[in-house]
Amino acid sequence: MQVFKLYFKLLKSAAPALIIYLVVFSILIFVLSSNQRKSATGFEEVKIDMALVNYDGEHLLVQDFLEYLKSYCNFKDYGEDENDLADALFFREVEYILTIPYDFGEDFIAGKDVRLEKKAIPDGVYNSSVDQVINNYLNTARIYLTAIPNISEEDLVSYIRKDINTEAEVSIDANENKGEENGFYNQYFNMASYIMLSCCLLGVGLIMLTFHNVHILRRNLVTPMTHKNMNFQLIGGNLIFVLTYDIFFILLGFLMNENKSLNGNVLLFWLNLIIFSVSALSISYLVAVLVKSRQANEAVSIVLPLGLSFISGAFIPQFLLGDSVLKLASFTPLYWFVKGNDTIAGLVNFNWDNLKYIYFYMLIQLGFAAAVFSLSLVAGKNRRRDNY
Amino acid sequence: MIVEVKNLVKRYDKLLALDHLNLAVKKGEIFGLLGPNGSGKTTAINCILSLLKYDKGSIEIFGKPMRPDAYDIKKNIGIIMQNVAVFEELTVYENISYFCSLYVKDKKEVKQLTEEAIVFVSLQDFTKFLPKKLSGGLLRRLNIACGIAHKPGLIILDEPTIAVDPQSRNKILERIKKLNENGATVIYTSHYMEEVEQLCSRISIIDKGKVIATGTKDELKNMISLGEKITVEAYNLKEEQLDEMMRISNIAQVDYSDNLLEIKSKKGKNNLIHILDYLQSHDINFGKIFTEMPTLNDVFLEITGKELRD
Repeated sequence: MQVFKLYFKLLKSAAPALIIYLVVFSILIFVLSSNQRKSATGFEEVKIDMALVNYDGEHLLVQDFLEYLKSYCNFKDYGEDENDLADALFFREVEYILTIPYDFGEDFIAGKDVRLEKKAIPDGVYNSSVDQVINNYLNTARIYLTAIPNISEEDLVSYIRKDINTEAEVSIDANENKGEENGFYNQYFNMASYIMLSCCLLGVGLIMLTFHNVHILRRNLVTPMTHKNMNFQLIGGNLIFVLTYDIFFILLGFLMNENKSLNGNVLLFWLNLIIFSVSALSISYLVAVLVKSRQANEAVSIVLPLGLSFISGAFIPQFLLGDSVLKLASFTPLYWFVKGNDTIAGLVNFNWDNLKYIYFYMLIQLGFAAAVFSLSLVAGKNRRRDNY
Repeated sequence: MIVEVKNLVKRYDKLLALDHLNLAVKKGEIFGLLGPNGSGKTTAINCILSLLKYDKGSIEIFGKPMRPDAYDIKKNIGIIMQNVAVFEELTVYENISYFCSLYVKDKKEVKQLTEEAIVFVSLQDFTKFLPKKLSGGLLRRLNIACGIAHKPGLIILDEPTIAVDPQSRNKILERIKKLNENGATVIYTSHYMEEVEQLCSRISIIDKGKVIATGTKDELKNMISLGEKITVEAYNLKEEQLDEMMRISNIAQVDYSDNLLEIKSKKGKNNLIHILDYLQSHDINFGKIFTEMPTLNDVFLEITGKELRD
């Protein structure tokens, strides 16, 4: 086991960089975990400040409409002067100005094309919700007027009120709930992939570069130790290295997460990480064969994981990325790892129909690892031949 | 024979690196492989060690065919390449111990052999040093220790003194001699003829992948017609006198410049006396006199028509 022991002695020289990566990651995860505690778990109704200019104050429909709006808005009186109203909007004293024109109620019931006048803060957060509330009332009224041509104002108002006060019972989909529950792990493991890849490239790259050094290689080749045995010990060292990282990420995630339950989703997250670490190992092998110096390897270990993480959705959710970016990313294992995590996060029913996608993503990662390992072997052989 | 190479041919595309090379290394000798850069010395060593595939020929070490999987043979070989092959991340002790442990399984034995190797190359004061902290000479000694710690029967040194200062070079050569005295057979390649001449009991001169001469240094020198080279500090020599000197028996070449008369003689007796007789009989004033026996460079020059250092 001389080579195996040597592996970890050599790793010591990369230890400072590897530790820095882990410390930075732990801090990031701590911040993430703090945000998790603050994360929204429901909705709160808010009323927005609205200036109302009502030129049709008497009509029953208008009165009822305004009564209805009070549930959503705080009416503020700024008179009818346009400048005063504009100032109120400019200084954000109100977010919305609603003007009801003369004879709006009568004309609306008569079926004329009448409109409410609206002024709002550009890109105001609540504009569309107020629009929706207004449209909801008036569209309901319009439906009744069309359906019952001679309907009285009293009936119209009562029908509208009955309809819009009806509340539908909503049960929150368990799937959604799961997604929220696994949100931390989803984000955590997506980010962990960046650190895993960086550390693999740095640590494994350093060891492989040392062993691929032509002079060391020659000296090793003339010893009585078989090449197979030497490679076997090196692979063993590499596997222990990535497995240590896997265990670290699993334990850190478990400690940082508020929810300490061990369910199927968590186990799948772990399995996905372990499979990804094999892919990361294969990439590190290939890079170590292709680059010729330690400096080049260090540069690649910074640039490559960052680039892959950005395009694969490790930092930014995949649904926010462009199609062309995702298409490019789909040629990397990181994309399938993140996609796997996102799917695991939303998984409720552990039946084959749901699980097959996750296993498929894992298989792609393993296939990628096998292809890259093969490529590394060919590249390594060519490099050895070139060296002699 | 410890090593026997027969009709070895190695090509790199169109370049013929080894052209039916034949070598025979006897037990207990220091065998020198002398040749200019690019003559095929390292290629020959790489083929002997099965680091390189060759096109034709056969190689036997310890009487057995050498192959990449001949681990029983490799167990008894020590190799010191021209480039230092040690781990930068390990200390002197760790490096020697690691390479020794690839040959020897017993931990106690590895420890003992490592310590002996450290003493042998006089690196006792540097055991905890990383290679980058060592000078060029010390680094070469570490390289040697890594190659010989397991006490092999055959030690192959491929230009181990390149870029080493003269003092360290002498120490390295002394240690190689000591290794040989302790029973190891040594193959030593170099393009420094002085080293080979000083160290090796038998020498093969190699050029363009071919052995052009083999023998002890005296045997090699006897192969050529050139005798000693005589240099005389002489004044006011005339052209006619130089022509007359050319007619003295056994004189091969006469050159005169800056009051230095250089005469290359053919093999024969009393060459110096004949020259001095001529100078005295012609009342030519002369001062210091030097004589120099032919070197391996002269052997190489006469056989190939070019200098060894070309």
